[in-house]
Amino acid sequence: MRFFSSKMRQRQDIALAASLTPMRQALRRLRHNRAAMSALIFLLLLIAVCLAGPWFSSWQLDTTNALQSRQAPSMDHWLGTDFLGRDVLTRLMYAGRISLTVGLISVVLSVALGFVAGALSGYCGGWIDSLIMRVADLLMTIPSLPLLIALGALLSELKIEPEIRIYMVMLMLSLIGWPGLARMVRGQILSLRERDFMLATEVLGLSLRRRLFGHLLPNTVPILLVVATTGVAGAILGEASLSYLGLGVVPPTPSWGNMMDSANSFIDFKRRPWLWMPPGMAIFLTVIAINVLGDGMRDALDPKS
Amino acid sequence: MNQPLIEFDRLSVEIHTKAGIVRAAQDVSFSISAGQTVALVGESGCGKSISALSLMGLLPSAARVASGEIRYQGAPLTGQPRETLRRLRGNDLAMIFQEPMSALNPVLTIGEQIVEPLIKHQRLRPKAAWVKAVALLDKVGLARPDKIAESYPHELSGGMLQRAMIAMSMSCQPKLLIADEPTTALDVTISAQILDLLQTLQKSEQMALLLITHDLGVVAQMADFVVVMYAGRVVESGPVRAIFKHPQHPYTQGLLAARPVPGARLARLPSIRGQVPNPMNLPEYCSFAERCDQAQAQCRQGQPEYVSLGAMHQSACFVVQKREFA
Repeated sequence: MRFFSSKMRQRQDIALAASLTPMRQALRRLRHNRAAMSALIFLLLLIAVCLAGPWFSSWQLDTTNALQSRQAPSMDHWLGTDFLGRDVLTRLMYAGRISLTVGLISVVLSVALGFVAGALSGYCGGWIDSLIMRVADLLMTIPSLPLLIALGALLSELKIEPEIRIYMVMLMLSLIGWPGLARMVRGQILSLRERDFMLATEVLGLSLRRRLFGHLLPNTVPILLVVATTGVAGAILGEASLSYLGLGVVPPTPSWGNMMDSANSFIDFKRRPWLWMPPGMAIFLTVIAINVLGDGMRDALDPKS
Repeated sequence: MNQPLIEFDRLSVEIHTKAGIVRAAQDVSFSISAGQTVALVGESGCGKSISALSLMGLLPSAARVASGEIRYQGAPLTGQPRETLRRLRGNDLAMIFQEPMSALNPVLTIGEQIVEPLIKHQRLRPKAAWVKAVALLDKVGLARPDKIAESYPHELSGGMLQRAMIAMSMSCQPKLLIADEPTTALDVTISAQILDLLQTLQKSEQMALLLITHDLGVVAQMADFVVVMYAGRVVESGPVRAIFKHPQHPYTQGLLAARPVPGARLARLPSIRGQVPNPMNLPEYCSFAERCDQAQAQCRQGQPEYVSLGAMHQSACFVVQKREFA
């Protein structure tokens, strides 16, 4: 009897699994991946701290205090103060908001651009394909850091307001990011468009827009998600290196990259690790967490696993 | 007789490959009247699917219509702008495929896929379209259509998917449904059900059916009119009775002789000797001559013309010609 009931339950489980959408099944697999879940929890915590933390801090973002500059961590200033006497922890949390936002938005931009370019290129073929792919090739042949540095220098030359500059940096980073994505999407689309269901959409007389966004996009969502996730890590690193060089997000707007700037001075580097260690660790941990999460998502979304 | 729905008028399709030009279909002529079932029979690669695809305007990019035309209600289809064709497709012309598993998008629910042509061609609101989609699923004999509409293709069996596919193609009440080997991927009992369904729908919706198949049993059961193709050409066409009772072309005779007959236990089924000629270099004479037991000297000297053999029945064969006019 007991055997029977357990068999029944098993069958119910199977029936349940079968009625889950592919996305839910993937989420379920992801939930069983400890490393990926820890990474996700860490990232959520980090975001929560960056968003809510500054409210609980007794220090302001830009309040300077010449008397308390370069102080070591204490009960008042948990992570010490910088050369203008600003609280490092408070700035770190604000910087986190900026760095994460820049990373996320630039990736959303490059995914959107990359999908449209890749899908048009793969689905339409012909001269559209050649044109888009040659532009992508061209962008990929230019080493990205020098290109970013040149663009950053251009922004400095044009004396763009720091607030607007952040958006420019996002655009620059997505400019670097889309060609790789477009290529990957194109590869996917090339194989998808030969499938019967795409012929069926044509038989049904659906428009190009419906075919691209209604039928092809959902099929590429898994790979887009994985690439976008790891792309966020790349964008955060890109932003950090640019800002470290003073060409990305510029002070007074804090970012993890420009906070690291203090490691430029040998004295600070050697004697005052609280100035550059926190942003360094923040970048390091965030990037690792995102990559672990991305790996976990790849495993969860890969139907062959 | 009133105007046929679809006319193939000496249609020739060429496929350009690196190795040369493949003449996939040559001088294909036949017509489909409203509400009629026409079966297109022949072995793999004889031009059945190419003819159907050119009717839909969906030839692969390497292929093009070399000469002849296809007319829909008297108006030429070939050479029409894509937008005109797109309006016809789904609306007036619909198609179902060999493998229902790959013909449905794996990441969209069945309902989502049926709704699309309804919104596009009939301008229904999404909610109304969904209701109609469920009704269509019910019509093709699926139990619990509301649940089916919400499920993904991988959750259904092949037979259910083919039914869903039929529902999708029926969504805008097409005047012609092309069924490209609709039961090849299904097992025998399911395939009988699907054919029954197609027949029922065809009667109730009064649509024409172009059935592409190499299963002569299916032809006998379903078709009103049969077109037999060999190596890109129509070798014989006629009403189903005439073809089955009095096949004239040696190829048709061979095909019919090669059928297993229930009850008759033969050690070997009769077969047609030889191979289909390479479509890259078809002979300038009757392409069946090399395999034909009745071939004569004349058969290797040119293409046979069509010989009329009574009501709508015609065949392209020198042997038949001789016999008829002797």
